[in-house]
Amino acid sequence: MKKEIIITGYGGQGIMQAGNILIKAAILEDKVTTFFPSYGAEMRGGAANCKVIISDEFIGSPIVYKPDYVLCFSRLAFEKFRKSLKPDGLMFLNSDLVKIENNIDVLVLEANTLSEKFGSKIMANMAMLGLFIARVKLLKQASMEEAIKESFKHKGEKIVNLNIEVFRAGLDCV
Amino acid sequence: MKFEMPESLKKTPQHYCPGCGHGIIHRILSEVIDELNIREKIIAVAPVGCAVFGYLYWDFDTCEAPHGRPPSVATAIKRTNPNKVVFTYQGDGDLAAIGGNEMLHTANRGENITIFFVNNVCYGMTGGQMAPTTMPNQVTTTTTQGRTEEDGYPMKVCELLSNIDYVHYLERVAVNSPANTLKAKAAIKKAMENQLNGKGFSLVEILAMCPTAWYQTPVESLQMIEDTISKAFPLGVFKDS
Amino acid sequence: MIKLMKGNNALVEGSISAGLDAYFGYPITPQNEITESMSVRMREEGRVFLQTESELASVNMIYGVAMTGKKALTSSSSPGISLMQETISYMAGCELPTVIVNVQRGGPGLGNISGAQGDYFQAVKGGGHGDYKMIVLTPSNVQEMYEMPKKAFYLAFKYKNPVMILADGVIGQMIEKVDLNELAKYPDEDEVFNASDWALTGCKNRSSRFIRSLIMEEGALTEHNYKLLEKFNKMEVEVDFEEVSTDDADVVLVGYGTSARIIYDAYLNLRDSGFNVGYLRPKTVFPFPSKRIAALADAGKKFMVVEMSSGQMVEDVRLAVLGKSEVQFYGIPGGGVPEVETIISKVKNMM
Ligand SMILES: Cc1ncc(C[n+]2csc(CCOP(=O)(O)OP(=O)(O)O)c2C)c(N)n1
Repeated sequence: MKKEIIITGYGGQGIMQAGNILIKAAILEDKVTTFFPSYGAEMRGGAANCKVIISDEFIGSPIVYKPDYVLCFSRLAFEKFRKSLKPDGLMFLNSDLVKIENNIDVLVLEANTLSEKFGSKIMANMAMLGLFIARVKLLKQASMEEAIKESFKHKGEKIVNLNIEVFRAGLDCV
Repeated sequence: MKFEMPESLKKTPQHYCPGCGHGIIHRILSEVIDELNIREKIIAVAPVGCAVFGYLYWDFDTCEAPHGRPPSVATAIKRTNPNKVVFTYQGDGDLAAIGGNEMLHTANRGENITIFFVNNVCYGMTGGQMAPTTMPNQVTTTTTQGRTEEDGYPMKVCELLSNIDYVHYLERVAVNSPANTLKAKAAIKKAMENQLNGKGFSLVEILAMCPTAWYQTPVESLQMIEDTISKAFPLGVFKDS
Repeated sequence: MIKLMKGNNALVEGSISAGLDAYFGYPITPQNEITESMSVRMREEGRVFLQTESELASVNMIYGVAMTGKKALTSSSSPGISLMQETISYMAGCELPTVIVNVQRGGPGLGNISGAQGDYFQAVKGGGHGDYKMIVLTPSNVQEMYEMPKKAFYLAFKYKNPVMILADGVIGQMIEKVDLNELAKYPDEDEVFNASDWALTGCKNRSSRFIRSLIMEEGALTEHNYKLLEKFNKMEVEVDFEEVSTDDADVVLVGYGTSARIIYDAYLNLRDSGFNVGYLRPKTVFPFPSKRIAALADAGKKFMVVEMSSGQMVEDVRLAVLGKSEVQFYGIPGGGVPEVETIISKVKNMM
């Protein structure tokens, strides 16, 4: 099993953080994983993406051209990555940010709205991770939550718990 | 009183031209090192320029730096070996032209090193071309009609560095007379002591003769420092804080 | 300790484990994590860190530290490495052990900040002036970014010569698993790292020393060059490479660094579809695995060389093969990344 994922949107949306949580969870399950970010002038609002590969075997190139899954947080990225998706690939879209015609085969979630219910839209990335994991079951809920905990522990228990709650809310949306 | 060779100077003939200032400066520098009893702690950095062969004459540990980079080399040696005494010995081309940036930033960090800056208002080693310090109207092999405004104005290193907060000590001296040479020696000593006392960046600019590139006799070149060069580059202390 | 880490950060940890005394660097993407992380970690360890005013200053600072027999490293990316070349040549001339890390980006000129492999010639064929060689190590994963600094210092001190770690933006920026185990000791490392018989440490209880590369006496520089040449020839024993399934291969894929990871995907894919292909990854590009490649050529194997450049390492493969077999090249310069599918179709055409 080798799955290639692109998470894409703008700086400030937690793109890199979402990718980091995936690879942390993958490691907890003893999987092989790579993470490759877009980098450079990392501006808030500038286009940003990261490429995550999760596999059972050695991973060659960490660069992803034809993803199995795309988690998308912007219109620009939606147009760009829709075409590169594998034939049986899946696109996950934050539909608060990108409005599309309903005939396109994507999984949508109003992730900002969902996150706001817990106090702020900044946890929309957690909601999208929840939706993604619920749908593809690539990683276990427990390892994802452990990875979220690990990622936010420096911000205190309250923040950890909030992020886990949003993640769970995302899980329930499938 | 017996007149002896300083221990810090090897008993070897030097290659410098007749009337050159480098020999005198090597001598007083070596005397200071002996007097302070720091010969065994010295790691010196020779430049690219006439003094590149310093290591053939000085009897203490010495390395050679690429042209203009002695301040960086010295910074690194001192930071990793804080108990050693580290100095650079650089010409005006080395320090003020190609190495201007390293000079500025080493001063700006207030590195606890000592720079001996030998200003002979020309490039000696490569055959007498213009230096940043060359006098207005001075004839060199690249200003055959004399230095003009288009070639820039003599760069005053002490004045320039005196604006930098972290610089501790700046003095300009000359070696064109016994009296001046004694003052030069005192300044060299003070600059070394500053380092021993952890005072930070010290630079002594030494106006030195280069009869060959000035197309003069040794005696004329002593007078040239007195009459012209030390007017453009006034002697004295520019900073002592 | 198993951790997820960026290549650049792993290099910092590996350098610290290797006993780095001093780091000097100037910001440039895609290696900024090295300078940033060094600023924290070296200070934590009570060692020397300095952000310099330029790569000229950085490289001359490691030159200075090496004069005193200590371990110093600088890192940069392509344009900054170009700026360092004069002093790298001085280090070779003075026989100083230093480590220089190049996290290559797209060129020429200011280029771009994507990973690239356009600096191979500069690293392997000289870069600076004069007849000299530098051992060049080519990490291809984050684990090697952790382990190679130690090896680089060992080789630098063993041969008293600068060593380059030639990485690229992809290896520097990617995150993967790394085992931050204690680095294995070389059996003779205490002896190798002991610089007391040549370093400048102050002339206490010994005669004074000097280290220089200006050698003006009649014929002496020629002599010095022959001595260096003998040393460069001896480095041949340090050649290191990884080889998979070349025995029955008709075509051997050759690549280093990120390209090696890409050809590995192509290799797996082609084997799965029944093609006899092999994989060869140089872990040192000077010395280059010429002998092994020559032997494979003698055995009738063809080569497909893949690089993130317009074709640089391929020249060394061709020199090793000496026309005895077919050598094909596929590369993308300027920060582009070769595609697995293109490699596959090109290799099929060679069958
Ligand atoms: C990179 C580089 N550029 C140029 C030179 C040639 N060069 C050697 S010495 C020198 C000028 C030295 O002049 P200065 O520093 O004033 O010292 P002096 O010889 O006058 O004592 C030059 C340009 C060099 N060695 N390296």
